[in-house]
Amino acid sequence: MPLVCVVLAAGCGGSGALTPKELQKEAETVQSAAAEGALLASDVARDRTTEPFARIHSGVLVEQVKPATQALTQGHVPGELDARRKQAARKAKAVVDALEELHASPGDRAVARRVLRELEELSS
Amino acid sequence: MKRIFDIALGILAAIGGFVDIGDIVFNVAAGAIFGYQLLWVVVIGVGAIITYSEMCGRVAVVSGRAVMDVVRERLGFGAGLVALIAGQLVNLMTLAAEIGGIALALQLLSGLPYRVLLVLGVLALGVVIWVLRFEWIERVFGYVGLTMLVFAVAAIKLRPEWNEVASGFVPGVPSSNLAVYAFFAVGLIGAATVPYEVYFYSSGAIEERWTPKDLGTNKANAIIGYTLGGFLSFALMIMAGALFFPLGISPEALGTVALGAEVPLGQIGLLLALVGVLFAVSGAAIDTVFSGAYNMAQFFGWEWGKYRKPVDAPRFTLGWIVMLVLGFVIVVTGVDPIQVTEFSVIFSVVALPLTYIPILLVANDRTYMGANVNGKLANVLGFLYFLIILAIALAAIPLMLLTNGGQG
Repeated sequence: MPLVCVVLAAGCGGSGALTPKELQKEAETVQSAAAEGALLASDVARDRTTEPFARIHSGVLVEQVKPATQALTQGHVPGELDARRKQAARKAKAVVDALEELHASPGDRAVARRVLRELEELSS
Repeated sequence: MKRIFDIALGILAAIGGFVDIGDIVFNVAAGAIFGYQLLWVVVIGVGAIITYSEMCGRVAVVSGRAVMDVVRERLGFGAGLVALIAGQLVNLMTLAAEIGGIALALQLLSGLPYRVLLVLGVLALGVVIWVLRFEWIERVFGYVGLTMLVFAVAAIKLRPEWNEVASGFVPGVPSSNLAVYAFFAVGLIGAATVPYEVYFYSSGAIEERWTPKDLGTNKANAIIGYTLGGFLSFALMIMAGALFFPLGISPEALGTVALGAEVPLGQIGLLLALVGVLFAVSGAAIDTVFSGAYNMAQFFGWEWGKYRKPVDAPRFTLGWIVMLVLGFVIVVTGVDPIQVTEFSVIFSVVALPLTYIPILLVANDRTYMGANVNGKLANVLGFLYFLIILAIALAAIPLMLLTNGGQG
């Protein structure tokens, strides 16, 4: 739950130092959005959803991942964790790109199939 | 025959009206994070709301006094005023969350801009409250809210491991993440027992002019209605436990909840889920609007009641209009309704004892209640649940801070 972002106004997004725990949290946020995006893309690909729902909800998922992407891209971590941070940042950017594609074409089943493959790979 | 029909209608309304945005958010999040492990907590929450709703309904029928009236009389003006302010703040936060939930559900259905839907949603609520009679408001939103039962069908279609589901009803302590587990336990009980439910229930008994002949209806509505309403909570948690938990999905949006019905059932599941959520949160919004107006009127001794013409209860009428406008103002600033929901549930837990202890005291007072005073069972359950409520009220804020609002 994102409650602490409001309560403490810290630890979510931004470009400060990332603790190992925060790095883990941001990576989990990205993984969660990728898995959820894959479920949505699967339903778009099989014509089991509505266009408004697919468009709005994929947009919401993009907004959820963006702060994590920023934190992973700009955050500082101890040297031994930097490779993990960079990998997580690349993954986060790929998830945002895939979800934005779904958001732009919520009724396109071919796009949805491609997005589904990408997100399944990213969430595994 | 008419009495059976009345009971059935009341029960149906209670089922559809039980689940609000706080229940939806906490049950789905708990299922996604802990699977079925917290199902037993819902049983406690439902038991508490049954016990206290039955009690406050009985007090209202026998003494003709609703909860805030009783609070002022028992706690005195000073402490009563604290209870009133706490209750109103929680009502307002809950209302803002429900209004936001209405706009989010409408947006997921239509794709229209959120802020436009906020305005339309609040105007529609205002018109419904002004035009419809009390019992029809209760019934329309309760019945259509029954489409939330689609989550029960979704939960079954997702083929959960039923032996694991069954073991979720046995209280247990997880090997890790204990503080987050405790935070969700507090939130689940809080979501099931939010104070507006008893304010509304007791005032509703007076709105519907229940007499001592209706004590059976009161008991049936509370026991069967809330039990079946709790069934919807189970369905939400089992759905999330079966679908989101294995995939590591952490729900942070109302759309995720609807996705839980769409994945197993397709478009029809999605549409029923969104309509169900829309009517459930709209019903809860109306309940909180009225609760705010009831509380003010009962505390200060104004004329109140939807059954009265607005001109005959002008301060009550102004009260619900002001509540609606304030709820709208809060949510139109751009705050996230889901975050407001989390806050409102946790802060409502803190305010619970001030609402519940006066009910327990008056229900035990033979000078008020005569032959309908609490029996042994009602007292044992009442004191037991009050102890639980007291404990979670003390733990709520520390747990929220300790767990970063459930994030761990």
